[in-house]
Amino acid sequence: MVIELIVRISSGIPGLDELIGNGGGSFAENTVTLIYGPPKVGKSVFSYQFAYEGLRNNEPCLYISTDYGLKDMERNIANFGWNLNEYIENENFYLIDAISTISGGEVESKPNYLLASVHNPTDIMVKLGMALRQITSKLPRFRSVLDSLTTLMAFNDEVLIVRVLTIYIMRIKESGGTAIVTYTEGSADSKVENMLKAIVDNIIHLDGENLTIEAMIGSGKVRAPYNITSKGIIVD
Amino acid sequence: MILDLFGRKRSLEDYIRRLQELWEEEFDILLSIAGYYLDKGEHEDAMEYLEKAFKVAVEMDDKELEALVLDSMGEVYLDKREIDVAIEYFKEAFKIYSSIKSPNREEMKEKIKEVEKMKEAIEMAKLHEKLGETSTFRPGKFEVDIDKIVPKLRTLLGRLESVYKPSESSIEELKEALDIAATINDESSEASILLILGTRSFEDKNYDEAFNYFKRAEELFSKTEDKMSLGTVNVFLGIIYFLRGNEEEALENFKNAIELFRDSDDPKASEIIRDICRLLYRIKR
Repeated sequence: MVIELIVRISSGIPGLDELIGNGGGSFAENTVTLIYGPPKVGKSVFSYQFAYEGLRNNEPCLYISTDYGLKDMERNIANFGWNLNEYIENENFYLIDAISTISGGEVESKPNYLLASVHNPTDIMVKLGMALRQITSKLPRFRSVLDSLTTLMAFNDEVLIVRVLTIYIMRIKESGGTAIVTYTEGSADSKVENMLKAIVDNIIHLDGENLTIEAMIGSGKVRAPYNITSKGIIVD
Repeated sequence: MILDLFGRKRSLEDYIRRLQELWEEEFDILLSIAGYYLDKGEHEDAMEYLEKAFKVAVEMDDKELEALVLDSMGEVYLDKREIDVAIEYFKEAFKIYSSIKSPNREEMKEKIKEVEKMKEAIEMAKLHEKLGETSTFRPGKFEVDIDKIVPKLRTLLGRLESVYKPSESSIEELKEALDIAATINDESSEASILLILGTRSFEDKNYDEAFNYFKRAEELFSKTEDKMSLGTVNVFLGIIYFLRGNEEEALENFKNAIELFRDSDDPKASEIIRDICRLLYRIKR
């Protein structure tokens, strides 16, 4: 009899927990997973489901968004029938919005809504520290999402963003969190892409048809088809 | 009788062409005479002939030649070391060259830049002389009203494109940001944060601490080739050197700053430095 010692947390993706952990969750707690693939294959949808699953289970979520501001995120998430607003109100959802300041929209900073800029990775990391202090003072378990590395690399030196990711992973793990980061395949130099893969714990590839577990603590390589439905990603 | 001069059989076009040739000859001669007087340092005579040449150019309705005379007039004033007047003439020539899209336009633009550089160098030399006259001062004896200088420094800082705003973060937050920037090797942010920390220390009159921040910022801004920010740091360093009584280093930093702002095409920033220098050295406009 093999006893599973790894504590896994649920992904929020129907079918994925069964595929990886026999229904006992997907991601080993306190690890960081890279979700990568071509554009428009569901990386952000995956991130929303991962974040929302935690919120539903009273796990705070620290979301770093480089592509969508708060209003756009609320709308994107509402498209799948989920309501983010309640978690914004109860301050379980923390957003570091790194895009609204450069897109020119009028936004107001709140304790759980921090403004930064994709142009300034240092400031994003400062805001990460501020948010982590608030989150860990409430609950020891939390989730985090960095969506996406691609946009950060578009505005900054790619190797600098690898260093940012290293610090992000270190801070998340020190604080007891579990995170996913997204990246659009082929958008950076192949050496940089290899570096990204080397510093995360788990790697999941999405190609629009199949989800491939390329690396996962306590699990082998697995592939399964998936669909993006009105209820989010569903793994068959 | 007049017709006899050139022969009765010539057409009107011939006479007009001939008149044009005479004007051109007259213009060339007037300009040569002006040049002769300019070489001898007889500026008034040179100007007299240039004014005559200008009238001929107007008569000929030749804008290129009008601009040439204005350029020459500028040279006369340059020779007299009346640089402001010289620049005015060169600018007038530049306007005309631009209006007719003359190929001389670019050359004139460069000339104006060069003369403006010369003007700044002369002003700095005058400052140096002034400093020499007051060289007996020592730190603590020389009274500098920093409160009058601080608003000018703030104006200078306001011209930089920095993500960090001094009013937004506490010193602790800035120091945390500095650590992060250094860890991820984000040199631009690190330099900007050092500039802010230096400014805070400077405004608190903690000049030694400010100096250390600014020296580190100077090194990083040099690496990132951020000329405007580097120039601003040089201004702060110049003031601190001045307060310490190190006139040579102060002057060196102010000169560097002017050079950097000129490279960044920001004459307003250069003007601010001059204002700061006037306040430091008590030079009246």
